[in-house]
Formats: sequence, structure tokens, C-alpha cells
Amino acid sequence: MNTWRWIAVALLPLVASIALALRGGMTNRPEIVIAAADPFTLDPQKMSWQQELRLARALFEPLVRPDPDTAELVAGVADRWEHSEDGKSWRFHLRSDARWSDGSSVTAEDFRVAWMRLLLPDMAADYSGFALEIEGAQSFFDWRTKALAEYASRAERSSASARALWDETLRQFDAQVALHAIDDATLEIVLARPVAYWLDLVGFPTMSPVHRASLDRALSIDPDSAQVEVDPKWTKPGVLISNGPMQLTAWEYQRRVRLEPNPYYWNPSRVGCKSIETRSYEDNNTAVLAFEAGAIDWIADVTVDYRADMVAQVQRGERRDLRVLPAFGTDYFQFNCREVLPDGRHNPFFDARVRRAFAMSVDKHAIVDSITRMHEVVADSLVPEGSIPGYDPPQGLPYNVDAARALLAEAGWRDRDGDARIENEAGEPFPVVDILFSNSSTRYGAMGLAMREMWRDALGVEVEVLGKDTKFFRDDLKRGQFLVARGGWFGDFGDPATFLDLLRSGDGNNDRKYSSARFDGLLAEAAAETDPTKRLAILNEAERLVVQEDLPLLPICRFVNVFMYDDAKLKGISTHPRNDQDIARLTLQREVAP
Amino acid sequence: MTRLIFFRLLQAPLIVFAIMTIAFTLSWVVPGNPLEDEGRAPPPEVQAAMLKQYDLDDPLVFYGQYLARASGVAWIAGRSPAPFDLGPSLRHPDWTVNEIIASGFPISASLGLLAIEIALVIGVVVGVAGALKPRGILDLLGQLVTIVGISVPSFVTGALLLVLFAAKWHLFPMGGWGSWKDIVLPAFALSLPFAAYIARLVRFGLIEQMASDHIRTARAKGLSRNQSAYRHALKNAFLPVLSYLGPAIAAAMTGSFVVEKVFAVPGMGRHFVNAVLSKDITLILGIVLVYSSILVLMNLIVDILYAAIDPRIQLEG
Repeated sequence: MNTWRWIAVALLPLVASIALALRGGMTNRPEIVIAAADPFTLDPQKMSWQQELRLARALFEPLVRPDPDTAELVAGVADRWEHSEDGKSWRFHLRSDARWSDGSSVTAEDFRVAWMRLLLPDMAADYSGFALEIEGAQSFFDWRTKALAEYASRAERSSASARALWDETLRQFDAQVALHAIDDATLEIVLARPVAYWLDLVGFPTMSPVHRASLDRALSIDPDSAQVEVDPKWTKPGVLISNGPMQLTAWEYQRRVRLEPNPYYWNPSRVGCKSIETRSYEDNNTAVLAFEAGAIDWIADVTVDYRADMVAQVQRGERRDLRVLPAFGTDYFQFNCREVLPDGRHNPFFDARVRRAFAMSVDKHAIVDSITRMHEVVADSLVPEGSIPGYDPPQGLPYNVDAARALLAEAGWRDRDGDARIENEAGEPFPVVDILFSNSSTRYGAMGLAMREMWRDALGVEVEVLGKDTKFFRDDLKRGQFLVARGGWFGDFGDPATFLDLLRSGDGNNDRKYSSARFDGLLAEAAAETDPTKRLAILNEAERLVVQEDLPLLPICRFVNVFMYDDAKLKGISTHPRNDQDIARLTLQREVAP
Repeated sequence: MTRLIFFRLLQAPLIVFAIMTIAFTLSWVVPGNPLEDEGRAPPPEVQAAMLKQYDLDDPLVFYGQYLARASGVAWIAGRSPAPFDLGPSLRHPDWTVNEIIASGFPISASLGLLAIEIALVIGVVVGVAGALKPRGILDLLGQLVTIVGISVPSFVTGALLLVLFAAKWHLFPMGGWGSWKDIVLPAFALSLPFAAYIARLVRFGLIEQMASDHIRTARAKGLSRNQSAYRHALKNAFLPVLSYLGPAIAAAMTGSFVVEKVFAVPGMGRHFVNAVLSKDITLILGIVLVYSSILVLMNLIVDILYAAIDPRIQLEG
């Protein structure tokens, strides 16, 4: 073989693989490009991440939806609704011109089926709790969970018996759950208890309807476990039918999601652009470079290490494309509240006085000004101020080192032998406090180091920072293998309960295992209260209890959303803390007059 | 030769199976639950049902089922609708592992093949130039380049290439994927360490060959130094490069996490690291399967080429 032939042989696979890799890739540039993480799922009932919910608000429309600028609920598929005096019975009237992207009508049954999906234990939906507020929903959920477990232990399993169980499930749902489509345009719901924020829940993207005909085609029942399974192709372009202002026209794994207007959407004036793409940039540095080169119009979450320096540039007037906005979330550390640690040692943080002392000796202003350098609003409560109308979070504990030392001494911890370290009555030194964090971000390592110095100097305890990979970190949290750990929570709906439920005994997200009969009692009392003002007052008292007395959490600051976009060009981004972005309404002016 | 190929092809599935089993064991013992993510946790009974659904409650059942579906045995037995079903991704329920590999592999493969070919051209040119005049200006320059190529990590060269060629001079796009222009910079960044290694292999090989008896004979026949190098020495000096190329091609084709991350390329390297971090066992196994198959195949091809280049080498099974 001569040299040219060798070269041809060498180039052939290259050309072939390039052709294969670029197939379908040559598309016209979308009008607007957003840098955002790739969604895990586009199944509205399974969603739970910010990037998914943001897409869902454009792809789907629930009965009501939050106005992106005020977080007030406005009409969606329902054009009007009413509820009974006690707030338990609700009736939604669907507008007659609501259409799916294939032109068919959106009906009440589409919502009923969607909400039933939320309630199926087989779906393992993160937001099943919203639908569990409906009368009979919990018993249906329990019934199905038990039936599936019973089925799995049967010796005799077949397609027919799995199908029979599914038919029985549908009958049980009809019989048990107080969710009824009276006709195509009317949906009636009875709640198990009055839920003050029910309309907020109804407006959440996971409560969006499903297109039943396309779902039915994708549905199958696993003969082995009797669980329902959805063909992954259901959420792909050309198959996924949506009822929101946009429809899905492309989704390539870890690369891009493209949305274009839904021609049948009832309110075309809500749509601002012809095409919009979210693209996944694993490396935020590349996204920033791409933004500066004009390839991206909005980075929805700027995480680069040098963002604090960019904030400083903004403050000096050298940059105008970065916005730091308050978010609907609180960044905190958490104390283990178990009496005994998994290794059998006594946990000094079981004593609320110790937790209070540690919380009072953290200088939060120093953390936001010189550690994170993002100048976040420091927090001593759980619910962000100004985020929920009619609710002012209580004042938490101040930074007071002397009071902290006094509290520790009261709890029996003081320096008894003059070594500048505190001991208990038996002379045992305070155990080494590990500050556990997931080292997926540099933020918490730096915060932990600062807190180590603060606690060492103020309280005379040995402190270490302990960074672990996310999986190991979560594992330690679940097993209670920590003394102090990094935490943080974003609210889902406009009510203090979205934060306070975290601390309820037995709540799935209560990794601290904080358990207070008084706190639980207040939450129960608030749940039964139908007067909204009184209810918020009770919740305020519950929050006061945890931020002034019990301190299962140590709030540090409010989270911020850091956006990169040019507000002279890109219009329609909401700056409201709730961050309910409506990407369908975005408009872009390419050329801006100087 | 035919016997060799036959036996090697018989061995191949066993080697792949051994690698897969090790990968499975390692990914299983890492703590954490692949079905669980940050944020809200579903009730424990639901989690238990999900684990059961995916057979994640029993490693032997899981791995057995997986092998049956992936190898096509389940399909032959009529228990699976498709022959090589690598299952659903545990963390990305809307995607099957087959779909993810079908989208990521061609991307990584084209980057990797282009990178290897760039590396061959650079490596051979630099290596030969250095070997023909050891300690000359070209050699010192070449050595400097190879040291830089081997020791500077690709996230530095990658970022540098982006800043210069994309941000400053606007010659290439700023990362992403979709046109031939997107391939050039990442392939170049990926090629540098390979180029450097090949250059060193060629240089040392050629210097050694030039001192050997058969080259002295060639020189005595009247061939010039350069002629003898190109006609006789280079072929033998290339042998170590060839054995290096097998694993190198496999490594380059299956994707580099760093390069793919820096250039925002949705390839296998990125998918693999993210799968490991989130304990997405089916995706880990799927990518390991592809990687180990390519590795075994490349080594086989290299062995055959070896025999073709150097007839003295007798390959036995």
C-alpha cells in the first residue's frame, strides 16, 4: 500500500464519526440562548430542579400560575375558581380555548390524571406532597404502596395480574380521592384540611396537566413489579405534547433544549420570542467567556470562583451585565439534635444551650463580606424577609460572644484546668467539632474554615472542617454521622410552611432529627386555623421557637441569584426573589442604540 | 495469524466481562443511593419500591439481569424487546443508556480520532527532526514542546486556546457543539499530550535505530543519512508508537472529561464522570462496556499491524 492509501484508511473513520457526531446539529441559531444545566426529566410530575421547573413554566400551564414579577397567582388554564368558606372545597373552571400543542382541548380529566400520577408511589415524584393534601389521597397512596409490596411478594406474577392491579388502582383512585372532573371544563377538589396556600400549590409546575392520549401510548406495566413505566421517548421532541406557551422542538442530552411557540396556545401575546434554547455548559468559566463573545444571552446561575470580583466591578461601574438578586432561600449550617451519635457517643449538641452558644459566636457579617464576598443579607431567621406577603420573620439570636460563653458555662462546659479549652464536670474536653460539607463547591469549605477560627477563639473548642464528596456527605447526613453540617433550603410556595416543615418531627428532610412537641403542636395548630392572620401569627411563634430558643439550624445568610445578562438587550427577566421565571416572555434586541 | 485472531476474539468477551465486573463492584460499594438526589426525599416505602423496581436491592440479581439484557441473552430468551439493552439511566429517567451512548460516543470518537491524527503528524515530525540532529536547535525546541505538552494539563491549554482563538481572535466558536468548527480547538487541546509522547517515542526509537547494524550497512551501500532514516530506520522506530497507539486511541475516543468540560462538548468523558459522581450504575456500566470493548479491539488491531510491519515477530495465540 502506498502512503496515500494509508492516509485514506486513517482518515475514513474520522470522517465517518464526524459526520455521525454532527448529524442534525446544523440548525439555525435560536433567538435567545440561556446557559443552564440540562434537565434530568421533562415529565412535569417528576420534576424537581430549578432548570426543569423553569422549562416547565414555558412548556406547560397549570390551572393558575404565579405572575413572575409579583408572585401573585393569575389565571392559567382556569379562568376562574371558587372555594368554600372553610377553604376545603375548591372548584376550578377551565377556559374553553385552552389547547394542547396538537390542537386538542385541555380538559379537567387531563389534570385529574396528572395529579393521580403525582400520587402514584411508582412515580416517586419529589412533589407528591402537594397532591397528598387532597382528601383521600394519603389513603390511596398507602393503599397502592401496600398493594405493590404485596404484589412483589407473590409467587404468581404475570402481565395479566399486573394489569388487573392497575385497573383496581384506577377504581380505588375514583373511589377514594376527592378529585373529580365534573365535566370537561370543571375540576372539583376537596382537601383533607384547609390549606391556606393551596392556590400556590396548584400553580406549581408539577401540577401541570398531561396529554392523556400520548401518555397512554407510552405507558406500560412491568409484569414483575406491577409498577407503571413510561417509555423515555414520551418526553422527546415530536412526542411530548404540551399546553403551555411553548413546545419542545429539540432535546439533545447534556447539550441543548429548544422551545418554540405552541401555535395553539390561547394567549399568544404572552410569547416574546420565536425560539429559545437552554444550553448546558459544564464549566461555568466557558459560559462566561461565551457570554462575553455574544454566544449566550443569559447565564441563569453564575457560579465561577471570580464572581465576587465581578460584583466588585459592577459596584465600581466597570461592568453592567451581572445582577445579584435576593433569592427565596436561606443558607444555613445545621446541628445534629440526636441525643446519641451513631457511634454511641453522647452528642453535646443535644443541649439547646450549646446550639445557641455556637450560633451566637458566628460573625455572619464577616462571612458575607470577606469570605463569600457576595455581601448577601445576613440571616438570623429561616424565612427570608419580604418574600411572603403579611409575614415578618422573627428576630433571631444576635452575634454575642460573651453571652455564648455564659450559655456554655451554664450547660457545664467551661475551662476548668486553664488550657483555654472547655471541659465538662468530669473534666472531659468538648469533643472535636467536625464541620461537615460537600466539597462540590468551594463556598462551604471557606465558610467552615472561618467558623472554625470563630468557634476556637470564642468558645475554646477544637474544630475541624470535613469536606466530602456529595454522595458520602449525604450518606453521613442521613445516618446522623455529624455534629455540624452544611445545609440550605429554597422555598417552593408562598407560605412560611415551605420552610418550617423542614423541622417537623419525622419529616423526610429533617436530617437533624430535631423533634419538639411544642414546635410540632404549633404547626398542627396553624394547619387547623382558618383565619389567615391568626395562622401566620402561630407560624411566627413556631419560627421564633426555632430561631431564638432551639436553634436546630444556624442561619447564615439569604441565598442570592446571580444572573449575567445585558438588561438593555434582554427584556422580561424577573428580579423577584421567588425566581418564577417566565422564559416564554423574553425578548431580545440584538442591536442597542448607544 | 488466523488462529491468533480467532483466539483473541474468543478472549475478548472474557476480558470485557472481567473489567465490567470490577467496575460494577466498585460502583456498587460506593455509598449513596443512585435514585436519590439533592433536595426533597420521597417517603421510605417509595424509595424501597423504587430500589426493587430497578433490582437495586440485590447486587447479584441486578448484575445478572443487567448482563442478560446487555449481552442479548434476555432478547434471545424472549424476555427483552431489544438485543443490547443497557437499561435506563438511573439519574436521567428520560434517557436510556443506549441513547446516551449513541449521542455521546460519535462526538468523543470524532474528537479523539482527530486528536490522534494531529498527534501523529506533530509527533512524527518533531520526533524525526530531533532524532536526525540530536541536540540541534530543532531538537531542543522539539524537546521543549514535548515537555510542555506532557506536563501542562489540558484544562490550562484548553482555556488558553479558548481565550486566544475564540475570545480574542474570533476564529473559532466559544465552546459548544454543532458545527465542524467546534471540533478543531478541543481536538487540538486533546492531541497535545499524545503528540508529545509520540514525539519522544519516535525520537528515541530513531536515534537507537540509526546506530544499529542494518543502518550502517545501508549507509555503506551509499545511502545518505536522511535516506537511510526514512527508508529503513523509521519503520522500525515506529513500532513502539504503534503499540502505544492502541490504548491511546481507545483513551482518546472515549472522551476526556477535562477537555469536554472546558469546551462544553457533550461527550462520553463528561457523561462518565457525572455518572460516577451520581452513582448512575447503568450508565457507568454502559460506558465501561464501550471503553473496554474498544480497548480490546484496538490492542488486537495493533498486534496484527505489528506483525505486518515486522515479519520477524511471530504471534502465537
